[in-house]
Amino acid sequence: MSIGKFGSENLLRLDFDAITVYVGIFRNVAAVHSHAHEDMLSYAVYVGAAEALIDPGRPSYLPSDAGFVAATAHNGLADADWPVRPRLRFFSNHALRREPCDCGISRTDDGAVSLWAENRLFGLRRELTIRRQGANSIHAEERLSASRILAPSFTHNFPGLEAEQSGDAAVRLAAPGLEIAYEGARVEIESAERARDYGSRLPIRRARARLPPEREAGIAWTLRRLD
Amino acid sequence: MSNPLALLDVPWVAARAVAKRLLRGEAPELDGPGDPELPLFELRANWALRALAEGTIEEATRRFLRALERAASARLGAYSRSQRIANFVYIARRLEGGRGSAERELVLPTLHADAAYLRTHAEFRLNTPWFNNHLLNNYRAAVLYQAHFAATPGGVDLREFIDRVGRIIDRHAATLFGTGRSLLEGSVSYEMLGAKHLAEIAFCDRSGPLGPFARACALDYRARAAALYRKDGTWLIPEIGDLSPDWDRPTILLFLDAFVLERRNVYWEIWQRELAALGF
Repeated sequence: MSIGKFGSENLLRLDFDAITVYVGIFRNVAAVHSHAHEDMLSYAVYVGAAEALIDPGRPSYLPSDAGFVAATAHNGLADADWPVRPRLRFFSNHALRREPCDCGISRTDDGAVSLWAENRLFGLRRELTIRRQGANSIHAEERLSASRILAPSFTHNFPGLEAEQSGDAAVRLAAPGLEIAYEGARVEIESAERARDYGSRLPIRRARARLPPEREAGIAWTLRRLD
Repeated sequence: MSNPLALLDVPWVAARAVAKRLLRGEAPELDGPGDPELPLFELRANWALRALAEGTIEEATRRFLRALERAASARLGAYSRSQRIANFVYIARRLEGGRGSAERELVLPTLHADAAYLRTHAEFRLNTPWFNNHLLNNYRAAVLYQAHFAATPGGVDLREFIDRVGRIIDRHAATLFGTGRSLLEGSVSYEMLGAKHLAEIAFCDRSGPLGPFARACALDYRARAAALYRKDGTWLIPEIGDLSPDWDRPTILLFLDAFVLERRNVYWEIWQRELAALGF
């Protein structure tokens, strides 16, 4: 097993055969006035070159679109009260805003990739482990822990309006033809929006799960390509 | 809103007013009248590359002149003027050979005024967190202007500005780029925009302090971009972080296709001499 911390990058690309996962790992504390969102360890997934799970982007810089920046708008398990890397562009001065957050990666012999991110100010830690399951499937485990009670929220954003609920714990997408099964929580589909360019708004579907407030929360999901 | 502190996420001088309004039970003011970025897209001529790709040079030039007329009543800052200079360089390079020289003469006074404004309005202040890609864009515009328009009648000499701003960026490279060689702001759109800025600095910066660094960054990004963002013959561009209002997906692809894949599109045609000089 090799363990390392990242250098300076905005995101990380992981390939599992046909499935590609982009993970946000930006934590340049010196760039206070950055264009980052609260997306540390959030992810976007492609099957082949087709979108499967998307980052919703941000249609404008208007305050009414500030919700697109929030951790709860991004894919994965997040604390709705305080994300790993909160984005407060103006509040307080430069030194006070330097929250001690970092992230790293490890690989196991069975090919799994484990990522972690933490904000030491609150003892908040987010973990994401992704494992290949054959050529057309990945299994992901997500975990959130803190020294205080969390407000855990889980989100998956799908491209377009084709996502359909399949029972309490699965979602199907006709294109690109895949199914995501969830363990550890019930998900519900709701309407949302995405932006592909500044000023654009496109309707999408989003799976949302709210987990009980505890010091730890976890959820797992399996994405499977339907051939 | 889950995090109440985010309501106070305004410049410090305004935080007290927001707090008082919250204590009075009033909702914080949200959007003003419309999104200012949308008219700025037109006034900055951010449409230039797409217009050149899809239409004629003459049409693009006429549209640029119309944008100048509308911009006359707008108070544009250094960032908008930097964009306008760079976007007109694209048009001007396509005009080379005499076509449209009359239009070029009409545009030059405005570009000289933009350069004169830029010379005294670099977007950097000491002891503030206001430091991001804007200064890099100021520097790019100055380098492009110096290479294309400074020697024309009425031109402004920006060599001192280039030297001063280049040294500031060099000193703060860790803030802008981290330990890597691409713009580090947590946004894919801005990372690619920064790569375009650096490429154009590398094309035209012959004596400024940032030229060698920009060249190294641009070549490094060119070598890495396909491995990071291409799959099955397609660019994958996840919308992670903010989306820059200064370009859209088709324009991003014009840049990536030309700069990374050497495809003969309008961006490649504009910079083909400089790309060849870089060994492309």
